[in-house]
Amino acid sequence: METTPAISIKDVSVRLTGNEILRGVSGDVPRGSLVGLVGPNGAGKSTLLRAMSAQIPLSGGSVEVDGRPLTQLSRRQIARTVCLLPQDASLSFPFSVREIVAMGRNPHLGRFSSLSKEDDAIVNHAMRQASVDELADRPVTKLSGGEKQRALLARCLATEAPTLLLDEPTTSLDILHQLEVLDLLQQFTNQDRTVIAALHDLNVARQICDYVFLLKDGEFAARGQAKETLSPENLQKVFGVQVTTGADGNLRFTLPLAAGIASR
Amino acid sequence: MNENTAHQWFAWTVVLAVVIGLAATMRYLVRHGARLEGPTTQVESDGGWPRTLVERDPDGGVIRRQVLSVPPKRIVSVSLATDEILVNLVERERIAALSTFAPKPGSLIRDRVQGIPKFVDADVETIIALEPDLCFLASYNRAETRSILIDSGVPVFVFHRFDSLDDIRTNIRTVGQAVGAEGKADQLISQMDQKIRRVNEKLPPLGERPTALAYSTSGWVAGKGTLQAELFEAAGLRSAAAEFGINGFAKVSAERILMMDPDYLVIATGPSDTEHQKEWLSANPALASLRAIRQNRYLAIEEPLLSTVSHRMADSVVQLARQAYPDRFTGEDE
Amino acid sequence: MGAPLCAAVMLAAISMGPKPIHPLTTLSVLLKHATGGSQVDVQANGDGEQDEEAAAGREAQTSETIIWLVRTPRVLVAAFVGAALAFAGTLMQGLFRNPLASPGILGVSAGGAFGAVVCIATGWAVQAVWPLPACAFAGALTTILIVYALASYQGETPLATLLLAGIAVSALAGSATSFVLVISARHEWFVAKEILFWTLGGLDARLWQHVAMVALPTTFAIVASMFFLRDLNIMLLGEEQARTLGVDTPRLKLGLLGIVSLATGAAVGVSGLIGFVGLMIPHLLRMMVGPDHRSLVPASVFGGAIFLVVTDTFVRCLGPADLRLGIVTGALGAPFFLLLLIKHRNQAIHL
Repeated sequence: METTPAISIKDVSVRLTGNEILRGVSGDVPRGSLVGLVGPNGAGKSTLLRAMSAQIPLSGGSVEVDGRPLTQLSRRQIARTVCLLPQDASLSFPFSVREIVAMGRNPHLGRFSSLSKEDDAIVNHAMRQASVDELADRPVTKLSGGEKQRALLARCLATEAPTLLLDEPTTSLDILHQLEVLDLLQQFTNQDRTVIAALHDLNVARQICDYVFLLKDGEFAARGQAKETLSPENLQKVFGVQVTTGADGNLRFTLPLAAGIASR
Repeated sequence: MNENTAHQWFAWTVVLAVVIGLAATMRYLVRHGARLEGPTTQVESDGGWPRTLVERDPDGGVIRRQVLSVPPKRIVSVSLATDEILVNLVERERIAALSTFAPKPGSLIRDRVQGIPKFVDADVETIIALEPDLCFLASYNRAETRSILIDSGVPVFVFHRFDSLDDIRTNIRTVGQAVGAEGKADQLISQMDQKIRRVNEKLPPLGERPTALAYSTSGWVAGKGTLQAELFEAAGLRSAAAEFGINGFAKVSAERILMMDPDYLVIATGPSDTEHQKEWLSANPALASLRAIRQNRYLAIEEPLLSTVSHRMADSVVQLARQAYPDRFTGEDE
Repeated sequence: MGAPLCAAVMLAAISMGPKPIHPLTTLSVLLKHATGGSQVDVQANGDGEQDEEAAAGREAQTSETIIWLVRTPRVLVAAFVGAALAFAGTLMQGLFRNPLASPGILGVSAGGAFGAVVCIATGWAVQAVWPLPACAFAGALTTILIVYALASYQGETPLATLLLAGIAVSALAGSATSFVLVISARHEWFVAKEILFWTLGGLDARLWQHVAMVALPTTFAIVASMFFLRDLNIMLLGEEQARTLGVDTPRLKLGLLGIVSLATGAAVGVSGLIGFVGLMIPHLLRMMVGPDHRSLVPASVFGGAIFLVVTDTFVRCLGPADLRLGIVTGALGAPFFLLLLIKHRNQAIHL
């Protein structure tokens, strides 16, 4: 059956400071799927995520969320639909973790209203999901990189936006928390919510993503189901490395072998 | 792209408009000079009491009237100009306060201020605390000070600038009317006029008069339209600055001074004495070639006399004239 | 919690001055006027009475005049100006995410100064009481309009561009002001003196009209800011995060800039240029109260009011006649920054 894709990008181009970062990319992100954006640095992953959340203007094409073009939505409406978690968000003012997560309720609050009991419950739940509930009253300036990342993830969860856009969500996390977050993302999609994550770890991408968009030089080199898209040929084309893939039970892994253009 | 250039045009237009606006404002100010067109007070009197102080704006319209029912006996003066006049018009007992300048070395009345209970500046609270029944303010004092004093019921006399001898006469006369000393005021004026007239009788014809310039460490000179220019004129001196084309006060370079090359240099003595001033002038290599310096032609005058704006102006005239024309003023005692 | 302290400080300030007046007298005069006794009873000039009763009556009348016409307006103006500047500084520090920002960084004070100075130089300021504050206010608002117009592009107004435009316009206004000062000095020394003293800030001879001129815009600005405070908290984390959380950043910037200009313009109009209040007070209070603007703004408002009332009372009672308020606040800036320096010597500064 045809359900409206969570996000639909149509021929999107983005030009920043005179350079074309994205050149007419198109694709649909089905609702409830976990999509990985994979590609080398500078391919345009972060830019694409920003374009999908109306952070930057498009020089061509359009982005639709739940069937409606972004340009027709107010900032609040966009905030209730997609939540962007950037790679390098700064948290340099000594708000407590709870206060930061509570900001996630902003798209739902009226001009002068304060947090209701329901809002508080949602905030607490979000903090628990991201494993920062123990840190609720600590000032964010005193958190480690990974703890900050989880606090921001909690904030995104608190917005109750059905689509999450994550830029390298596991980069600064230690292994335990990495697995916890990945687990959380999968739970998320099981509840018919959508996740689009820029990932550089090919193994993670292979493991958890339903679909993968392979990005190189602002264009989709390939897209589709994760397993097929992350084939050695495609990876060779996009990353310029030879890889070998393998499996160990349920676990699938991809290992880089050598740099080089030798293609086979 | 189109939007970019449109925005650039807009931004540059804004900048241009601002610059033009600024330039126009500046031109206006340079042309007309900064002005002090504040209100002034006149007195309506039928010779007796009560009499009315009428404050008028620069166009002559009446701003307010304040009534003096009896001759004021707690008078406060806030500037040296009225200090000098008052001390000559009313008894010590009727003065509640003079300005802070009165007892200082730069004042002509510093020897006559014993018995004056207080010296004030234009601080409103201090003035009100003295419970004055007449307060003399200058036209350039703040409108707010005037306003508070009037609101609290103190009759306020605003006197206009002293730009000419006529101004001085008018002010002395009006002050006399306000304090009930018209007779003494007329006397002061006629004394002043007499002194000046006596000097005038002894002066040579216009063509034979020397030029003079008052130049000091501050670097300012007074040109056409200043009281100083009229002082020089009354003393038989041509104002070198005025003839050079300077209007009002200006800071001029040594180069301009050299071009003016006055016959006499007027130096004001005071805290720094005459010799010191002469040394400073001749030590300046740029000015060393001035005729007045080479020929040692100085006119020295006490600083308070040079800048006085009261009837004492007559004494300034006399001092200058005596030094400029020693042959014509021998053996006189003024 | 700040309000009663502020009220107490103001009452004390009104009681202090060159003429000694007892605080209870002050209180009774204030109550009398607050409950409807409007005019100061003015005795006609020279009734000639010499006896003690009349003298005591005159003295009471003088005290009343001084309290109601001289000190109370001045203390009220000091309170509102301090509140306005601290309030504006808080918003600017939040908007620019920089605890060293001040109300004047976008040129509002410089433009206001230029307007005021032109008014003084043309002589308009001496004729009536309202032209000077009005011209300063007009100058301030014109400046922010110019800065905003220069920095806006395609519906966005980047903060860095705003800052650059503000610096440029500030510089222009500053040199224009100096030029006017020099021209005036050429013609009329007293005008130049007035300009100089105005630019150094001061609250002499403030009238009830001045109280209205600063109280109304400031109160309006503070109330209007309540609309934006939660969003401003979020803006502290960066524009991108703010947008992600649904904040309409262009509207927020426009609103905040308008509010800041209103408050700063009103303050500059009645007090001249008083620096450092808008920088020090919010900075200090943020260290005590935290970054949440919903508590920081009220704290700054009262903190600024108390600070300036105390400083002005000092200037009024203890300082020599020529000590201008702006000089004192500037002088207090030096030890403030030194303390900051010492405190942060071993830590990284969170800017």
